[in-house]
Amino acid sequence: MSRNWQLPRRAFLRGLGTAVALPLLDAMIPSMGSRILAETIAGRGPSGAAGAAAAAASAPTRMAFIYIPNGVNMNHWRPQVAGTDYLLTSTLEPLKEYKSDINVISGLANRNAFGLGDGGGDHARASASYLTCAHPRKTAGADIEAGISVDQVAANAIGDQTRFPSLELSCDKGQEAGSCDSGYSCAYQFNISWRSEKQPMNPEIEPRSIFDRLFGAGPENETAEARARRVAYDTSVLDLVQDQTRRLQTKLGMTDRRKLEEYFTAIREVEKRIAKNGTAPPAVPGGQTPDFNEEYTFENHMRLMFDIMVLAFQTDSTRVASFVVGHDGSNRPYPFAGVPQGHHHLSHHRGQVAALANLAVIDHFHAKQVAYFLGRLKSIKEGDRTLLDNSMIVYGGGISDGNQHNHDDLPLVLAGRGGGTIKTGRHIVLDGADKSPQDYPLQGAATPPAGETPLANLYLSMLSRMGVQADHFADSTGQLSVLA
Amino acid sequence: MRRHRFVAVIVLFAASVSLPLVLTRSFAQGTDETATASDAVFLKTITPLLQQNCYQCHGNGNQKGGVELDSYKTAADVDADHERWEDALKEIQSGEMPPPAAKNHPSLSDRNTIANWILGEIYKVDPAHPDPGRVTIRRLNRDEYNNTIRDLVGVDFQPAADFPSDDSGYGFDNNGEVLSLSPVLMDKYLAAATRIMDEAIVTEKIPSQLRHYNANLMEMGFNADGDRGDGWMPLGGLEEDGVSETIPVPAGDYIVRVYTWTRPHALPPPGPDFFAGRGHRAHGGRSGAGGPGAGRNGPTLQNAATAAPAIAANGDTPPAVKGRGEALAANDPSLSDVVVNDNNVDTPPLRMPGKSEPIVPANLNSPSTQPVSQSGRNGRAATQPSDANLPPMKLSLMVDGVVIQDQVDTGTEAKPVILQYHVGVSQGKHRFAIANRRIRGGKDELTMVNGRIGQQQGGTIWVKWVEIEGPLPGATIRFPVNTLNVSGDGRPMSDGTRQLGKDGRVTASFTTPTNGEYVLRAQTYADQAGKEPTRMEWLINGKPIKTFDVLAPGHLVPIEGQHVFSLELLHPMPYVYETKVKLPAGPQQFSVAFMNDFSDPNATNPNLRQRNLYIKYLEVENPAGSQPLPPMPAALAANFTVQPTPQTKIAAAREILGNFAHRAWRRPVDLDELDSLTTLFDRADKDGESFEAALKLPMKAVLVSPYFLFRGEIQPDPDNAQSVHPVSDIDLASRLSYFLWSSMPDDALLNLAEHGQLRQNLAAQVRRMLASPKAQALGDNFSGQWLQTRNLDLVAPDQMEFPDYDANLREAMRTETQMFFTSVMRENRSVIDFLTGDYTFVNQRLAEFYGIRGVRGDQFQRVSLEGTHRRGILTQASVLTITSNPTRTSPVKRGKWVLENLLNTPPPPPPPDVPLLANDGHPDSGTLRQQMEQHRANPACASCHAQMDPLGFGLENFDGIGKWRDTDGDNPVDPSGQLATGEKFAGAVELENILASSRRDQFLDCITEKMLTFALGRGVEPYDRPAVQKIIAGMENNDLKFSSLIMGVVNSVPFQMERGESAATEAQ
Repeated sequence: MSRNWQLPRRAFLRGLGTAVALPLLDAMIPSMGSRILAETIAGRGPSGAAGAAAAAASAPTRMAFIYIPNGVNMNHWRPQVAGTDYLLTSTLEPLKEYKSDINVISGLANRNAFGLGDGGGDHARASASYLTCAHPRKTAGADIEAGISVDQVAANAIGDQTRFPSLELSCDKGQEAGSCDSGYSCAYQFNISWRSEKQPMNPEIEPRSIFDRLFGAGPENETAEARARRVAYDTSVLDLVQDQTRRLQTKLGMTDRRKLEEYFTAIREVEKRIAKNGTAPPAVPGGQTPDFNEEYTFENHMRLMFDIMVLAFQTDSTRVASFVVGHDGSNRPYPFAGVPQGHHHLSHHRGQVAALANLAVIDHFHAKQVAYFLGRLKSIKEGDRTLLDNSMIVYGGGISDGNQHNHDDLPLVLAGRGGGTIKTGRHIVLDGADKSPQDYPLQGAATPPAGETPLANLYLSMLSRMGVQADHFADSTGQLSVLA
Repeated sequence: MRRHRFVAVIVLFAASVSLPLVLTRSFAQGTDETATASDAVFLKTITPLLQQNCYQCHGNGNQKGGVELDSYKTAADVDADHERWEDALKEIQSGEMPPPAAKNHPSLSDRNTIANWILGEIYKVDPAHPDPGRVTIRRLNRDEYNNTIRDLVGVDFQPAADFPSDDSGYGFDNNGEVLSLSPVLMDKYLAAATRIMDEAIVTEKIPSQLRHYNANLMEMGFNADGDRGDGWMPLGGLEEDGVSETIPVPAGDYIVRVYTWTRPHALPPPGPDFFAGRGHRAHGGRSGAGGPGAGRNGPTLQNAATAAPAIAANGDTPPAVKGRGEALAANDPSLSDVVVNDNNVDTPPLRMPGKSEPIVPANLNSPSTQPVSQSGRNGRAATQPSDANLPPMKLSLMVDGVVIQDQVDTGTEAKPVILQYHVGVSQGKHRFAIANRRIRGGKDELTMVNGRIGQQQGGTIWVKWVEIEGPLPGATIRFPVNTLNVSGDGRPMSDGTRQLGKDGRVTASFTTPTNGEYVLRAQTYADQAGKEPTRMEWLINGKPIKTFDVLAPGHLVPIEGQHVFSLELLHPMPYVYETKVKLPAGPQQFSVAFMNDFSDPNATNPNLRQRNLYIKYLEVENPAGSQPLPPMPAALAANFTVQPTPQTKIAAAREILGNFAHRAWRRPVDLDELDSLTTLFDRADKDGESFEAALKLPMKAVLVSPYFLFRGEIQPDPDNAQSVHPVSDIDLASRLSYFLWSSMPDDALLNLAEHGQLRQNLAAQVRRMLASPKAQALGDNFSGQWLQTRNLDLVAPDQMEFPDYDANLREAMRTETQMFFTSVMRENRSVIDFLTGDYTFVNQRLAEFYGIRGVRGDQFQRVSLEGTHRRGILTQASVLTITSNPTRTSPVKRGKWVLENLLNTPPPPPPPDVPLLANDGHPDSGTLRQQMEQHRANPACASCHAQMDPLGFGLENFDGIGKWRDTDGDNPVDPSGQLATGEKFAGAVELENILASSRRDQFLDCITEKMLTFALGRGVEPYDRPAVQKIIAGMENNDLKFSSLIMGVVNSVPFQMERGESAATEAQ
């Protein structure tokens, strides 16, 4: 890895007498960071050290959600004891290097993922309610409805500070054909991010295509003039179609107007981005374009997605991301990890030792990939912290045990310190201290068992750390005070 | 709350109900009689079922949950309490009730009986005042977008390929309610529109030029064998196997592209004679310096042809090359942003490193699907299964014997890739070589262990063509045959060629930039018959210029009892013919015509019966000038109905934009709209763009307009549910075209609609549309989702368990089902043939898999299923594979598939909280069937599994990928069974016969509802019942012919009519 061109810059910085490590500058956010860099180099404005401190102080908090399907083998997931003196289980063993950077959280429940009288369909509900904590309406198509997901609440509040309000990624193509889980539209099972109660955010699958959208700089060798013209042209096209949309709206009925509103919002969002992109998108830090050339494997696919999330966070292109490793109900086999059977098929383990062992192998495989992600985040310095310190990474799924399809006692790891607001290194076992059952707002919901803490409480706690002021989120009953 | 329930009820109805007798009766009879009839059914049929299954908790004085079902004495009582019975319906349909702990559990058919009756009582449908329902505005899904762009602009590169997946509702991905539009998708629409217009209107001269070389026509290495018969050259493990081209070039940066695939396989560990063998080859003349063991760290791989320093195989690089690479990078500031892709570079490239991009070709002819095993010479590759643990194979570009770059070859036989190398060279004659240098991947470098070689790259790399692009003299443009105008007899072949018959002719249009000499080329091969050789004539602008005898052999078949032809001659051997011609500047047409069609059916040699000419591509090279501009695709060019002059260009642009938007928006365009488009043209025009380039801007706007992306139907009174009226002719045209073609209406259809003549010509239009090649979309999109064969992309049969399964077999399975569906459609057969059709379509690969003899080659042919164990779709390998688990069959999934997709009675989902079975926690024993029967011991499971499992067991003679088997492991398969309704069967064929006879009505109901769902883009609702029944009645009067199903749907109330909506209606 010889990038000779780095040497002069490092030498130059030394010459200025700064004590700043180079990676910090590399990692600084483009809007502010590049200005500081420019000022530092020009010898104006804040001194190098002060500029760096400013950058560190201003380093934003990021959130990401990594969804794994079909529940896990909880025996190999949940640590035996609570507190700081716990041992990582065999499934979470790949995270040992980051044990001090994470919390394993046990005992969270997502009550709205249960049937509540709607019968089967736990996989659809697990996905649709995972980030929304809402009870999805049972329908195969007409009038789909879940809730706004936590990532989109954050994106709505702070998304305009970055080029992309949020990223939605998946390793799963949508269902190609046929109906999905038990009378639920496929929209519930393949999307975890919901922009509105009625609009899922379809995730992107192709790493190359996502990367190009984030960092593609347009045609090669494009002059600044040509670029400006391209941006102006795109803007004029969007202006024209917005005008058309306004006219069309007046002729449509209620549902059609709502559908067209999606289009309208999307147009405006793209327009904002084009305005922000008036100058070229940020350079890929260190020139490290992921290698899209590798042979397709599931592992490579996951890692490319992680690489892209790291780059997007590092360049402050977005602060919010969600990633569906597999849709709930996925029957993907894991022969590369030694498990040729389908995941969903295995998750109905009926207590059989062999099936449970294979599930643990799949869980371990996922944890290994997540460890890669955490390692990448931790390797990036932001002031005296790391990108991991400034992040909140939720890794888990919407089902606890695949055989029972239960949505309480969810498997969940929260990695990162949320910009220094989260005490890490613990196995947190929730005992319901954060919950007020009498306030339980659900229609038709059974009274939650004593000691149940809503998953939404975690999300509410995360939102406040993202700077989103909210009293509640979905069925939350308060923040998780135990995090701090 | 109430609304919520309503929706759930509708869903269950749409997904599950077969023809309810009760409903039928209520349509036919007056209100009073209905009540009486309803009472009779209620008392005779329904009450006993409730008594048996529900009263334990909800009757006889029990009021669990406040529900007392025996308090309802008459149908009128039920009718008076909708809310309670809608709840009951939901509980029964979903399987929530009775709970697992209940004493009795109704059978599936009993559940349906109760449910249907409730539906009839609660949702009375009045056939005299039909409710056509409402279709939500629909955005084009990915297939519709691709097809519409293909028909509108004429570019066919699947621009929607990287759009996010479309969600589906009611089993189909064209459901307006579910299809959403996110900002990501908007980004993609904008980018796609740019790319589409740039592709269609090329307004700048392409700066660099391209030379295209077929690998089998390049200089071959000492050890190379020639191609395997279809143009694919195998490169074995020595650089002497490479292909190369030595050409004089100007100094500059060049891109070398290689179309390639590989399948790694383990090499046997090299024996003691390994080096002797190499030594011998080296002695043979190509490997000079650096014999065995040379280099600093063990054995080296020798560069061919030159005495350049040996490349140490462990990744150390020769000083000369390394120095050069570094010097350039360090000293040339312009290269400071060059990305060093160190993951993929074993040796530093000469210059411009690392820009390695495999491109999956969008528009290239797919390679032969012929399995390697059928090609005698390549048997070795086939008999050694690929090993996922092997390091990836790498392919090297060498220039003048120096390795420029090694790249991982990620191509597979089913999906070759284009590897792209960048290299800068000095002026002069250079040898560009593509070689398999037998190197290893990553860390597993070639090392000596105890005197033996460690892990090394094994296997063959296949190369079909090589392109060199850069500041070459001359310019070449190639026209694949599927982009050409054709006339006379002929048909496209699966290998990407076109067969020309009587008067067959293909024509390429291009523009020559200057007066001068040009080179024309065509790649062709031919079948021979009679005394003359196959002959082709080349014409320029209609004037003959040259005639060729085409001797390149076509598809040959072995003659029975003889072994005259080696196996690889089954493949055609195309050859490139060329001539020079002087042309003036301007538009030109280059045609190739087949001159002497002939057939001699009685020739004793089957290879000498037909005379045919096959064309792969035409090519024009301008040896002197730069590349001629590719012509505008015909579809887009059709909008250019006027020639602009500087004075009239605004008016001309306006006319052209009017034509284009008219087609794109599938309706007439109003003046305001045209004004705003013209404003965009004006803006680009004032910026100094050329006429065509300036048109791109408004055309982009047309393509991201809501009028293009959405199919909306403007109603006079959209927020009034009482406003029922026929859809406009123009909207009807789009309904038809997106139903039958998954694409826009063509000019003929739109023209009829705009003149108000569509409805009187409806039947003729539907016939015309079904006969069009575009109707293949119905086969792909409807059948792919109805039968779920699209899911072949998602399933992953275990390689160890099913070594037969690979991409070729998967594609053959998919093709079989598509062709079978299409044959029922095109031959207008009875839809019952889907169940019992005694024919199918196979190529050699699938035929061998099925055990059908006598089918040769890649092309699919129709075969009879007489004497086989297969009939109809249910026994096709595609269906059997998608309903299996990765390692074994799943009788439950297969049974569920039949219930859902053939009988319209999906089972309720498994009840929650199923208690563990006795055997749980212990390893399974016995046959799968015995295990399943144990599972059914639980009464909560039994009522539904009794429906599903027997259907699945009837198919147990087909393994997890649909291959016939008599035993499952050591146990003989028992495919016999009895349906819950009593019919007995001894195996799959008998099961299908039962489905086609005693379950025939359910099947008709099922395919009708599925087709209506697909056609409307919404779920079928209770009020659609009369429409479904009318369609089926129409089919019965027409021998159940496929066209009567389509016509029935097209003529149905929900397809022909629409209504507004209101909050009240939706909430009901």
